[in-house]
Amino acid sequence: MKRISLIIALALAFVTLAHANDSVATNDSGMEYKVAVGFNIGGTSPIGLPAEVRSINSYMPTANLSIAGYAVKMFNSAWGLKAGLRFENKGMEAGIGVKNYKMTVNVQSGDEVGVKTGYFTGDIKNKTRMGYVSVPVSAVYRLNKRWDFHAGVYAAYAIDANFTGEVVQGRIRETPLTPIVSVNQADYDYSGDLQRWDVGAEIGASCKVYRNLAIDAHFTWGLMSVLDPDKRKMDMDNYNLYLNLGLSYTF
Amino acid sequence: MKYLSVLACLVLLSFTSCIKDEKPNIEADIIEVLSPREGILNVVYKPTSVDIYIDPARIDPQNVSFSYRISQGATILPDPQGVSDYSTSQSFIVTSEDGVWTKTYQVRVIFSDIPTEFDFENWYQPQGERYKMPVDVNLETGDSLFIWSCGNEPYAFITSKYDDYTKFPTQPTSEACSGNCAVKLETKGTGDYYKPIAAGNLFIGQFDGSKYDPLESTQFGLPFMKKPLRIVGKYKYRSGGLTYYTQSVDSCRIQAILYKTDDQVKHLNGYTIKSSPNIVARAEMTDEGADTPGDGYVDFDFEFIYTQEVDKDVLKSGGYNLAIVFSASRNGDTYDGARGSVLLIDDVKIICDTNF
Repeated sequence: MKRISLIIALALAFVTLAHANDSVATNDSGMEYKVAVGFNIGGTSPIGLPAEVRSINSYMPTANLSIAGYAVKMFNSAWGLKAGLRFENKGMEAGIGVKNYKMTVNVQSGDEVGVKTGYFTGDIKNKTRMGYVSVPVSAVYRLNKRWDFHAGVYAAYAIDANFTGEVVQGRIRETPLTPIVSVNQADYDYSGDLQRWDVGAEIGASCKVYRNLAIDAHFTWGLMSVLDPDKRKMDMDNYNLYLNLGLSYTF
Repeated sequence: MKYLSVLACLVLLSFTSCIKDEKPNIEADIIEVLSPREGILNVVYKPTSVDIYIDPARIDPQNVSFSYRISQGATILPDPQGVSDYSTSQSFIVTSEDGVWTKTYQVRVIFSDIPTEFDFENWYQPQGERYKMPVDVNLETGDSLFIWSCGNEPYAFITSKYDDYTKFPTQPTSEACSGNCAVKLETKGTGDYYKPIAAGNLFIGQFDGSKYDPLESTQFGLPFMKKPLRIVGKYKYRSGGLTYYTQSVDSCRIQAILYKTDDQVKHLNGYTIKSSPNIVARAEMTDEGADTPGDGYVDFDFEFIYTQEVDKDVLKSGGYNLAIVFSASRNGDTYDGARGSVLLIDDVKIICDTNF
């Protein structure tokens, strides 16, 4: 909750700042300022599932809000450059079925806390929740007064990173040579082993629907695996693939 | 919101490819002895050994061919069909489908019943494991006989950070009544929400950790061809205090059960050991299983109370199993035990009717 308040406060500050600059934000200079709110829907997902994944049992998008401020500089009537600052959550809940999937669970309660690694066959329920500060930079193409298209890149840093889940109704063995142990339920938490930086591509469109109010959509494709390949405990590279839908207001 | 979910899924699906072909299997287990169907009394599967208890009247150990069910895709060498002499233990190498993992199994045919005296002097460490288990000697062949099981196998997984057999619920101790070694059973805590404690236990039979239901994991009993009258031995018990669930003072359990086997009942499990109609006789503690007096061991001597007649011919052909169960927590099967309850056991004897 605290974090959300912080994000809102920062965004409001940004809006105020944008307003303060309103006097200079004339069409003559080619500068425009926008604030945008929206939500991300998608997945932090491997591109090409590992062969050990045998089924996808469930998928639930989580409430991923985004709030952003952008500055747009139009060089001529068609082309411009857009840069901004975006606070956003990216996350999802997914259930997968795996077979002989090498992973580490950390037992967090009881006498024998610690990490246990083994080959797991069964179901995994995973929750990913990342809170990013993103800096997108895009080229803008203005088709007409209503439609803007943009494509570019973004860099993001996760101020909040959670990757947790549980293994349920399965069996695990340390190696194929050790006995099988049934597992009713065990938790894992890889939040400490995540890559906080993400860079990627984004592409989107904006359509003015009423005066300065527009409906926005953009798709972001992260190129950095959220599970840090150097310290990961699950045999998977997963990337942020999210569609953002929202509204923006141009001052 | 529904449409958005669908949209998001479509976006995701367009970027993530579908479920791939399954990888070659990594397992290299002998899962089951399939045939012959007649004459096999019991089979004990351990990580690298298979003990087949047979009735020598129906199976000739020097001329028998067993077939095995092995892990999906795995291969076994030599071909079991070409092996017919099991008068000594036979080695089989099982290789996983992916070719990476191999296990060498010792398959032993046991054509005598289990011993009647247990001094717990000899212990072994299963290959690749960190815990120790008591081992007996087959008096007829001189081979090692692995008849005891306990919960150490699953406990090995949750304590993978230790390389120390004394961390396990079942272990040898030098605090012996006679000789150098005795059994120490200590109830330990675990990290599993559903299985909060691991009772220190030891029983004749095998532990099948792949069963979800823990009461089905414990498979009690092995063939016994004599009529038992009493079970005697030495024990020492210290309760660890209040049990996990019912918060009552923990106590120990010693019991021995003779039961008849048939096509349906090859062994008793945590459910059926209480009231199976196959049970013929039972010997167990008559007191509460409370702390023993003094510092040392005290005697126990429990009589088998028969509720059914024993068929002598069936007994001699291996139609009855004996289960002996020791537990540091009386209700450890349902995880209602206290951490730190310790039961020491030594010099156990089954006194049998020599005239029967």
